Amino acid sequence: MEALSLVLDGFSVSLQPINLWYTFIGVLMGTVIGVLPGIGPAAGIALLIPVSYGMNPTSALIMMAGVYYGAQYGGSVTSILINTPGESSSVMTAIDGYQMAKKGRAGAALAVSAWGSFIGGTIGIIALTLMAVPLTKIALGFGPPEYFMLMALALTAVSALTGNSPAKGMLAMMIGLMIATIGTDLQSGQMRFVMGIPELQDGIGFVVVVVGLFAVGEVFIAIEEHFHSRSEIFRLQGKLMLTKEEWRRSLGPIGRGTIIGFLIGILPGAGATIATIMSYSAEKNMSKHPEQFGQGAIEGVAGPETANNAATAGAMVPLLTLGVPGSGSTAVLLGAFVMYGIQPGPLLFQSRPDLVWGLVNSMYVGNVMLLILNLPLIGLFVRLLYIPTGILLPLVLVLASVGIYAVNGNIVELYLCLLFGVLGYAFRKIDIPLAPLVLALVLGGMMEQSFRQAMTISGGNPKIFVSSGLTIGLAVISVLVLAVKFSKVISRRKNSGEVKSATI
Amino acid sequence: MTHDLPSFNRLKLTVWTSAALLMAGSASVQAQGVWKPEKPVEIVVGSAAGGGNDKSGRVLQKILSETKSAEAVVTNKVGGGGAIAYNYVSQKKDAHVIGIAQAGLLTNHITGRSPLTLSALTPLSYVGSEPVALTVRADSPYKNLKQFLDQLKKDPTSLSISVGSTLGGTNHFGIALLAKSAGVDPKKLKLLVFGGGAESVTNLLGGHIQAMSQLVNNSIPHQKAGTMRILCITSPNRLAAIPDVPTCTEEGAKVVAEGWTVIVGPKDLPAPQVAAWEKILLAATQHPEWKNYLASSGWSADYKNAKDTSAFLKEDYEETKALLTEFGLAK
Amino acid sequence: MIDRMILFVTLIVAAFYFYGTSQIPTLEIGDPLGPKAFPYLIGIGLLISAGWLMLETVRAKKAPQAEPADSTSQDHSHLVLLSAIVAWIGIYFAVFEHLGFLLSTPIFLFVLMMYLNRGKWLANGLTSVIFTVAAYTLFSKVLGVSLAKGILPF
Repeated sequence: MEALSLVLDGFSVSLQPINLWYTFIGVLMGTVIGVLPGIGPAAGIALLIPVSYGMNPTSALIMMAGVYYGAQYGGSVTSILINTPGESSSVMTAIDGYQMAKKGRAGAALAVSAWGSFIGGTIGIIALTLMAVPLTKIALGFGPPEYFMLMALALTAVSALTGNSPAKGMLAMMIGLMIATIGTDLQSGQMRFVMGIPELQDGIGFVVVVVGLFAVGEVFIAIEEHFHSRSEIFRLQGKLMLTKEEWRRSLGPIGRGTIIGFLIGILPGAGATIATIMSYSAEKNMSKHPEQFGQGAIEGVAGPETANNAATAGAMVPLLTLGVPGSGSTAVLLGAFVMYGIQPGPLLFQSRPDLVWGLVNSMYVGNVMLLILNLPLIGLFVRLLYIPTGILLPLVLVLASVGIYAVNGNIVELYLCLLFGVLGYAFRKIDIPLAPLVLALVLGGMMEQSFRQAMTISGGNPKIFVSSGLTIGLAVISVLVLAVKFSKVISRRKNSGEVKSATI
Repeated sequence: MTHDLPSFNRLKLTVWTSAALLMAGSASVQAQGVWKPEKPVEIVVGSAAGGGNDKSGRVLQKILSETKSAEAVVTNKVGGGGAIAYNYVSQKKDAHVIGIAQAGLLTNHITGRSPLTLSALTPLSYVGSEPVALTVRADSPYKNLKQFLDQLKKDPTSLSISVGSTLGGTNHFGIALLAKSAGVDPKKLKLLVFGGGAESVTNLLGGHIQAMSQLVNNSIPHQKAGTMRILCITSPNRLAAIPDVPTCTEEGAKVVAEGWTVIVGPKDLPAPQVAAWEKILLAATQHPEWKNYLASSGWSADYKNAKDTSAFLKEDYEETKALLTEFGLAK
Repeated sequence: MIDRMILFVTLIVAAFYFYGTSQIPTLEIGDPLGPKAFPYLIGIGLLISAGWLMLETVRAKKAPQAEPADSTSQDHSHLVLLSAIVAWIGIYFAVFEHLGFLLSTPIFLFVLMMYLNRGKWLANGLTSVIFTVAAYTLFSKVLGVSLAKGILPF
């Protein structure tokens, strides 16, 4: 625990007018980037690097950090309004958020996102302030075997999302895993399923798949409905913001989302996306009405949106204490640090406390700014839904395309996105759930690599997977989750004679 | 003969025209003798913003603008282990586009990942080298290189060593050559591949692996903080940033394996353009900004002109190919 | 019917996937499992899920259930429409870098909107142009991202 005086001194830095201004620019840019599908915080921060050359390092880093957590606020907007996740960490939000929008509760979904993001982000930073160093020790305890067990736990969580037909869910998972294997295999350096296309050598970007399956696929479905004259404008039902009932239901998920998000965020490699997966499935498993998930359960929005902001705070822990980035965005931040001649790591807290605490404290300010920015915007965003679909749909297509092109400037990715759009449409027509596919894609790569790394270390001995407290703990939790799920399935079969649950 | 110019006038005309042409020709040859960038220059890097080459690119961009040599922009072309960036540069028409190249340029071709050969690019200058550091955690029982290698001699599979983000890269060569120098078969080593230097660092600190063989910039902050110990570095001389760290040669293993950085231009650049860049880059590497960058990232200041760089690359290609063939990675 | 098609396609995909896996080179060094193990497992998983799906279909036929009736004739005409739109998007991507963002996007948008939002020439045209300009400004000026320049001089 750092001297309290140093922490408070940080406020004198972060509250300087110039830094307040930079915080504002950062979070504003972050929100815009988060809203735009395709382009993400990593690209956004990278774009700021040349712009910030002459600036005072603290101010520049404050601005870039603002982009980072600001993007987590913006990502939920397009997820909820047009089923187009802006970032991979907004995918879970789209599942129930869009359903809520269809039911006229878009405002509530956006509101709970904003509030959850604020609470998750702020508490995350407090945790960062108080516990950075001891948390790092826990994070370091995660090696390949522990990561594998964590991924396995996450996969069992994914099984909570299969809906009506577990067989189709498994099929979706397999497809997701297959896509994950395309590219150059990390452990051996050999190319798999690249089919001679050089752009496939680095695999298919997660964002390309998500934007294709969800956004473009949704556009195709909407066009079809348009022609069956089935499309309706999502009219607002009831209160713009949250009702008391919705608040009450959201508090638990927000609390749990904060803890889950922050803890997962501190693990380098796991990030906001996995945090949202865990949060969503935790909420579904704990809910008294799990069948509502996938039809617009507000818990399914509150939990993940809180988790992804808590995770960004968590990801700052290894960055600041070890100089190790926890995700793509923090890796770019690290590059920015180094460019200013600042080496984050164990010595940073002693040598530049003004920078560290100025930066951390600016995040409190930033979160407040974001809340103030986003809440009034909800009214504006909801109005966007009133645009006639004939105009909205083409715009969404262009927005998605530009977002993808902006990241790598690669036309091949656009074609891939289109392909996934067609697949997304097809899958929806034949009832193959998209969520397990996407999640298997995220988890599959890491699972395989961690497994093989662990086997290399142990020389082929599988005992390594139950060799540490963490792995055993994770194994136990996974088994429990599976057991609970099975018992629920069995008892439901007994009760109703046929299984009817929500389809995603 | 009335419709023809008198022959004398025709002769004059011929002489004057030829003289004029000759002067114009030599004027353009003269203009070709010194080439200068006339529009903004593109520095192409194969990594995303914030990544390895991107940082070098931005430092270079800054220096070029400060010394008024050129206005530059950094273009990121990510993918294929640098192949996309190298392809991009190769196809440009003149020296307004340059690229930052590293070992991937050669290994991509040797492993069959990319059909691009050395002849598709014009080497302009060699601007820096970075050694590999064999690093252990500070509380490791191995206090120096000899103890480490002795352990490997006893049992090559007893220690888990990370080689960063790929097999067959400079990091891999570092530990492989060190093992070979002690008579250990490098193919028996237990080598791990992680997503990047950062993952190696966390795994080493967490005790999941016993050592890492990575480019030195990953280890310098931890050496300084006392959380890690660099057993030796594979450069010919010690580094100013970490003066207490011995070279592997000093420790008894004559291994020099460095990651190099070379600036390249499009295919078949004419001599004046190459010469122009040589001059600019030589000056850039002497700039204090560059020296700072080198010092903080553990690079050695090495400069080679275009001709020497070309020779170096050809030699490195052969050496790399031999090693990769030994590991069964060459195609 | 549809489920049988899914089964069929899955089997073909699995066959291709197994073939692709067998083409992956094996190394003498590296991790004990190698790059082929996981793909083989996935291929097997694919087959298992196909088999399971068959089981479910058989079981569903036994239990009385109402099949959602979708008139197939309607679907065919809309598949044609959607294919046309997919082709149009493909054309947009193909010319994107040649014509540049500012030229290709309004054309793309306008044609689509005219089809989906019939008759509203002015609204469609204005939106196409304004949106393109706004997006261009946002991305290239504010965010500093380079969108394809194409043939326009600016």
